[in-house]
Order: sequence, then C-alpha cells, then structure tokens
Amino acid sequence: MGDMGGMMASFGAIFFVFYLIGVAIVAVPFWFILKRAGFSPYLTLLNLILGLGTFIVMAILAFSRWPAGESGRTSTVQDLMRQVQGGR
Amino acid sequence: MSSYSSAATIGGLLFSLIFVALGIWMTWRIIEKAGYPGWYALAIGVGGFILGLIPFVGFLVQLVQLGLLYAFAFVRWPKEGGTVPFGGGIPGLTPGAAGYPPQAGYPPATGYPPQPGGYPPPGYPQQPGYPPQPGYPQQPPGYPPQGYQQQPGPPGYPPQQGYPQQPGYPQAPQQQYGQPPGYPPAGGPGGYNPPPAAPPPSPYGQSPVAPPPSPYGQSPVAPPPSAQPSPPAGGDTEATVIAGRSMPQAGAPMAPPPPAQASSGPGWTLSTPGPGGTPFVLTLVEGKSIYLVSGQGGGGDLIVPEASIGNPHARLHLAPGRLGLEDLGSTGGTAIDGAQLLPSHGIREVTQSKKIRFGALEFSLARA
Repeated sequence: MGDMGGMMASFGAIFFVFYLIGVAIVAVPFWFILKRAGFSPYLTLLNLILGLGTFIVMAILAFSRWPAGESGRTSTVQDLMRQVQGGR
Repeated sequence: MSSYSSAATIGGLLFSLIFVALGIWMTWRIIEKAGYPGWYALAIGVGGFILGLIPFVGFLVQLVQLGLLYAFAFVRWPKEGGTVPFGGGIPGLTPGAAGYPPQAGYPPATGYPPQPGGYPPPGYPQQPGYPPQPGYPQQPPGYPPQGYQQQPGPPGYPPQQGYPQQPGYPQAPQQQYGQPPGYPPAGGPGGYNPPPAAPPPSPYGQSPVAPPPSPYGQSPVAPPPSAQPSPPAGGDTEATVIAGRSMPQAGAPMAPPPPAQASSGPGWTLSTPGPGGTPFVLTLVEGKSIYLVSGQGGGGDLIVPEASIGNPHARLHLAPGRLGLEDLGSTGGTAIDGAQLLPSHGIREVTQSKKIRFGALEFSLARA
C-alpha cells in the first residue's frame, strides 16, 4: 500500500509537471498579449486555473476596453470620436 | 447502454461546439481590437474544428492554432501602425494589404488637399505620398498651419478676387478682404498702397494658391527670407516614421525647434471630443517651453484623465511659432497624423500637423 501511495504521488508529480509545462506554453503568448493590450501581464497567472483559465483571460481581453487603446472597430469611444470627426 | 454512450457523444460534441463558438467569438473580438479583421477568428476556429474531427489531424490543428497564438503575440498589430504581417489593418490606415505599400495608403491627413495647383513639386522626391510634406518647403515661416485647417484651400480658389479694386483703397480695405477686425494693419495697408497693378507682394507670401490671409491669426510680418523652416532632418526621417519600428532611426533626433519664426500666436490648443460629448481641451501658452503630458495621477503639466495615457506619456516642446512632440515610451503610444511616434524618433516637429493621438484619444492641434 505504501508503494501504491508512492506511485500515486509520483504520478501526481509527473502530471503536475506536465500541467505546468502546458500552462507555460500558453502563458507565454498571453503574457505579451496582455502587456501589449495594456493589462497587467500577471493576469496570465489565471491560466493556472485548470480548464477555464484560458477562457477567463480571453474573456478579459475580449470584453473589456484595452487600456493601451484599441483598433477602434469595437471601441465605443473610438466609434464616437469617429462620428464626431466626421469619419476618418 | 449504447443509447447512453451515443447521448454522451452527442453531448460532448455539443459541449465542445459551444466552447469552440465561445472561443471564436472572444478571439474575434480580441483580434479585432488589435486591428485584424474578425473573420480571421471564424476561419481559423471553424476550419480547425472541422479539420480536428479527422483523426490524428486534430493534434496538428492544435499545434497550428498554438503557433498562431504565438504569432499574434509577437507580430505587430495593425492598431499599432507600421508594417503589419497577415494583412488586416485599420480601415484607411493600412488598406488591407500585407506590408506597407509605399505610402500610397496613407490617409490624406484630413484636410491637406494635394496642394492645389500652383505649387512646384516639393523638393522631396523620395516621399511622394506623405501628406504633410508637400506643402512644407513653401510655407512661409511666419505662418502657422491654421490657414489650411480652417480653409482647406479649395482647388479652384480664385486667388486674388479683390485685387482689381485695389486702386480705390486708400485705407481700411481690411473688411472687404475678409480679414478679421483684429487684423493688424501693419501688413495690410503696406501691401495695398503700392501701385495699383502690382498685387501686394509680400504679406501673403504665396499669392496664387495661398488661402486668403484671414485665417492667419497673427501679424503678417514679412517672412524673413533666411528663416526657412528647415524640414526636420529631411525626408528620410519622415519615411522612418511611416515605416515604423522596422526601420528605427539611427540617432539624429531633431533638436528642440530653434526660434526661427518671426512671429507667432499666443499658443496652441489640443482638443478632443471627449467620450461623454464634452470636449477636452489642452492649452499650451508660449512662454513655457516644455509641457509634460501624463495621465491621471501623473505629475505632468497636461493631465489627461484617460486610462490609455501613460505616466508620463509625451513631452511637448514649444518654441516661438513651432511645436515639437516627443514620445516618452508610453504604452498607449503617440501618433502624429496617424504615423506612430516612437521614443527613438526623438522630438518631432508638429507645427504643420493636425492630429495628435495620445493613447486612445485623438487631439486636433490648432493655434490658440
């Protein structure tokens, strides 16, 4: 039984390592995307949430206004400014 | 039993479909904010989902999508200007084409007509399409660019309408010339008194195509011939601005604008229609030479309470009759007439510019 527990623990450790590697692979681009969008790059750590983390980060990027400015197609501020300026 | 497993399969498929749709929707919004067409996300997502149904291809699809995620993270986004891989682009800024067409796609910066008639070809053949340049060498030094803003010199502007009546103007001709009451008479009568046939030479500088003198809100002192507003460091540097970071300029930042101008207005205003409809105006008064632009809570001279404005964001350099702009490495970025300004560009002259973007806000530059 002790052997069994040790095996489980080692499996858990191996799984954890692979999980970390997987998160790291996804986290690297998200780190830079978040930074360029003007968010704190530490939001990447949300990717550590198993299963849903990436979706949460994507939702943050998709549904909030980027502090660093957006292209303007979805930004209400920019849309408004374009209207005011008579379309540029 | 089999019905249960098939139901589970269908349920799993439905679940993954929902997740794929959610992912496509969010990716659409994300890449659109970066300036790419949103349908890229649809194509990649749907295509990947369909291909992923084929055994063994699913893994490849995921690898490709991961590669695209990395590419998205590291390539230049259209919203940042400059050379953009994968096409896309802000409408009017990078017209859909991958890479930068040789400045053909640059937006004619709102109101700079292609210098109607008259103008000899500008002395900068290496940058044919760049809007603010063509009129540059001809500008008499003393005149601010407002004339072009307020009266965007219509191509067919009949230039000297009032001149045939000149002989009869011993005094007070100003109103008829459409000049504002405050127009200093120093240049006016001086210019009108000469013999009737001769059009007034100097006060308006460039007679045939120049807009009427009224917009010049300053005393029309005859421009000193020597004080040509030397275009900042030639055309290549401007091209560097257009090309963006791919061609970082090797040094040679423009020195603070020398006080070359004979006269000037009292200052400048930077105005933007605020998000709430209330205009937001920054005023620069000459006398103070450096203005620091910063966001909320920053210690600048011009505080712009907007999240995309950095702390500090940019620096404005004032000299008599001239205005320089310097980006301080802000996240939100700075752009002059749509061209990205980078810290490595040093100080750029914006005297002739019309639009200055700080972060997400675009300001109109005007003489105060």
